[in-house]
Amino acid sequence: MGIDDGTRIILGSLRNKVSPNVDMMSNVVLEQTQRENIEFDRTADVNLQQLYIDEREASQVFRPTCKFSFIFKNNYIGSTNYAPFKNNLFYTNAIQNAVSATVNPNLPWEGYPQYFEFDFIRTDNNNPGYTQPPNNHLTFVNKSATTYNWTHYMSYAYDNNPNKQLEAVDNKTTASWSWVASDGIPFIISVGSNDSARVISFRCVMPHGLNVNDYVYLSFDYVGERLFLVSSLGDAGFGSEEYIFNITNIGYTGATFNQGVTGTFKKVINDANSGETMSTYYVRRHKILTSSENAVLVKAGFEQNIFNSKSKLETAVLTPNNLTRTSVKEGGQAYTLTFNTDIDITDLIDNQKRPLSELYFTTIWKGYFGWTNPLKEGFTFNLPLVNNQPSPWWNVNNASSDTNLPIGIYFSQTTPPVGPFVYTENLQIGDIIDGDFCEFNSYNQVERVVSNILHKFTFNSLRFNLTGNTTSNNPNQLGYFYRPHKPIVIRSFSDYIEEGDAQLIVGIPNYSFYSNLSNSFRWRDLYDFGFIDDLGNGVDYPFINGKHYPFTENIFRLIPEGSQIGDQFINEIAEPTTDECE
Amino acid sequence: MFASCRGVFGHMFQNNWINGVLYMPSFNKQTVFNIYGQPRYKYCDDIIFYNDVNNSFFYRSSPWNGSEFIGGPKPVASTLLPVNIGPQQSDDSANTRQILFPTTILDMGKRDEFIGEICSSSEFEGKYLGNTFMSSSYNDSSDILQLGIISRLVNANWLGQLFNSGAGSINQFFSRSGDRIDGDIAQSFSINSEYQINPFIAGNYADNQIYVGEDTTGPVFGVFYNASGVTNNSQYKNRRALSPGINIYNFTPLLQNQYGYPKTQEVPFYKWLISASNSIFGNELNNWYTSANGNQTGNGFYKQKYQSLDVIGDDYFKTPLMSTGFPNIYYGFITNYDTLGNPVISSPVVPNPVLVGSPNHFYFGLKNGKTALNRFIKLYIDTELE
Repeated sequence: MGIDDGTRIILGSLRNKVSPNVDMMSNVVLEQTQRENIEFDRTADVNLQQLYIDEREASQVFRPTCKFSFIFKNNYIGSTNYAPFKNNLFYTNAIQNAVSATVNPNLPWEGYPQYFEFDFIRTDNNNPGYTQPPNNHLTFVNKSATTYNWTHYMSYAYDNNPNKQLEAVDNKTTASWSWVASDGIPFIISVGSNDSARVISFRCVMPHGLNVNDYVYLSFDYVGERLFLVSSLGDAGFGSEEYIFNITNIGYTGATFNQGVTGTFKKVINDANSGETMSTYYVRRHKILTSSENAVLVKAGFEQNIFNSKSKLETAVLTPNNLTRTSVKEGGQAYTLTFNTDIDITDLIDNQKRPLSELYFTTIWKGYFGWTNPLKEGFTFNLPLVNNQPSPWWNVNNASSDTNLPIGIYFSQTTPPVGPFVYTENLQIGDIIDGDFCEFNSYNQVERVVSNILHKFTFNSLRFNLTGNTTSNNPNQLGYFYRPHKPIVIRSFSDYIEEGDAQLIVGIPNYSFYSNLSNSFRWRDLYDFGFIDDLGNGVDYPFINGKHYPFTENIFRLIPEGSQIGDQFINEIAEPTTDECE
Repeated sequence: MFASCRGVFGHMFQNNWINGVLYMPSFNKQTVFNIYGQPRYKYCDDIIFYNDVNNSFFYRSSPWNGSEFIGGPKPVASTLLPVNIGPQQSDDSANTRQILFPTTILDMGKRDEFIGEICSSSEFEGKYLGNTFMSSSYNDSSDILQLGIISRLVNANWLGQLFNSGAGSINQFFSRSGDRIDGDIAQSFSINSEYQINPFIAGNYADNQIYVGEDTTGPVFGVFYNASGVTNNSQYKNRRALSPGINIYNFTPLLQNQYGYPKTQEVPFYKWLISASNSIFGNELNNWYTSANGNQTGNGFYKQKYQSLDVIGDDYFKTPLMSTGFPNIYYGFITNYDTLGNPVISSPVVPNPVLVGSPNHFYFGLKNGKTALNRFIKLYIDTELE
């Protein structure tokens, strides 16, 4: 055995730039392969703590649990003459309705749908004429009590959709944007070069995520230049720094930066390498990990949220079916959600091709009782009302706000059958649905949620017509919205960025980012289970029988549209006055 | 007139039910012991009953034969006394039969107005009445007395008697035996002090709602009383809520809910006999009807569960003009309106005798701020301003 004379052995680093130096020699170690038995010795010492740590670190199996505080304001009064619905409202105009009914019993009654139409667990399983025969809407199946209104899943951020079509309307100026997610964040110039101010102010309808001395890459250019330095944030309005950024007005001419000009921007950290340090924008997509049957939803003991439940006695004479009952407008029960299956993330990577660090409790409005229309999806910036009406984004005819959730229909069990009633079908393992609108910067390896995704449902006006609807089939009604995805952190990335030369450092993770700017790989470490740093990053969940049991507490809000304090209110609250006394 | 100014007209409450705090009158007993040292009690067993099982004294309620309230006998003076000393059998100032002293419980409704919102139960379905009760339902009757006097003054026939009778003329106000005030005046006093009624004071009633007339027995006067009805807290709605426990939501069409008082007790009632006359008010000889055939069947006093008394179903004053809607609604007291709200003087009264007053008289005490109702409010209702 010998070496060919023509063969040259060189260090790996001399082959090409990124090749590591490897040990070409195999070290043979002396290793004991047999052990002497000691007579009568039947025990072996084991370091249990180390064993626990080792098993915990090796395990990729999770059983997440969360507690939901369901907070809901029953806000919309409507009317219906569909008997199963009509007989079960929380009446708001009962006397007048009863008087009218003496003339024509088929006239609609007004009120709120009761709380159990929205609750996580329906309890109206014994309601003749509605959930039980005779002539009922449907026959209640007790096993389905937790899945009539909502279904729950585990999901994870699976990949990104940079081509998602988005729209927004500025409710101050009614300026509108239509852009795809990868274009970045829309803005309108609120103080332009034509205002002769020191700065040019860009107002966004969502948090811009910029810092002073960052750069913005605009969707239009000024004399061929698109990159501009952010000189300051905000204006005099309290909290405006999240939504307004400024560039110095050096005397721009022309109409490029005139007030009212709209466009989009992307964040750039370093102008020396704008391509590498420019953020990317996309809508996350989630993959479903469990089926609806895997969800185990139960009441969280006696826990109620802080708001009192609201109920009243409906006197027989003031009901359409002359039955005394108690109707509930709002309740406060808290729930716990867990799953009867393991979540094994061994082979899963997130939307940035990294190991999973977050799972999501995904809650979807099912609406099986048929009060509502199919779900629409949008983002926080779609919430503000425009001229006191929902944004055009939510119009049923706007396909961009449609979800890809499967829809089912059925007819009631009444005689004659009434329908169709629509509901959201259960999702299946592997289904993919949209998530939040996000920004990711490869250079600093940070993902930011720009705007949460929201689901909105409206009432089926043929069966429950909102008071105030001008037409019987209003295509753009007020409705309720909610955040479908609630994250739970299962591992934490470090708050620092590791940076290293592959020739010098072993164990660079495969999800690291190679920066030409710094000529190194950049990544964030995954903390070990049980380690929590000074900033509170890290997780320390129970681990037993080879599984992690992460848990979290969520507030699940079902919010009536138009009641939220949205971004439209920024700039209208002056900063608190401070003087030397403070 | 001088006599009236000197207070010859006294007031007393008799023969009807009044709501207040139960008063337990004291009684005397004498305890004697037999030779074995066992006590025996001597007491007035007309009103007291001794139960030797639990060694307790009980107040007697009302004579009962197992199915009817039959009342007790009229108290009559002993035959050993000289004639005309003490009450005589022929004296109709005393009741023919005596209901005596029954007591029962009146449910005054929810303690707190909001309890129905906390407990969504039919148990608290009733209307909140707490803010409608006063220490007494008594309303000042001086205007009525004045009207009664005027009604006599303007009557020529009565004036003739006045001048012919000299100093004894004041007796003309007391036509009923036992020196009791005339029946038409007495009934007006009674109605005026019922719970939730529009009291007879200046401005409450128009001239055409006051009747001054006469019939064969002499001058008669009456007031066409009413109670407000349309508003949510109207007097009529509160009266219906007190008994028989009905919440009225709308009059035309009538929307009401009868929640009732399931634990109310059956009790006996005297009735009021309206003498035949040319007006609904009868005349000065209107009087209590105290025979034990209140149902006109000879089977005892008229009886009904106290808070089931219903101005529609029970033997309250009614005329054919009355209905379940205003203005000619079943009020339960002596009045009469047509469909336009005009008083109608003459109308058949069916039935007669009629139930009056109950359960709409309240009396919790005399001293301002120290009545039983005041004590209740002080103890159980937070009246402090925050």
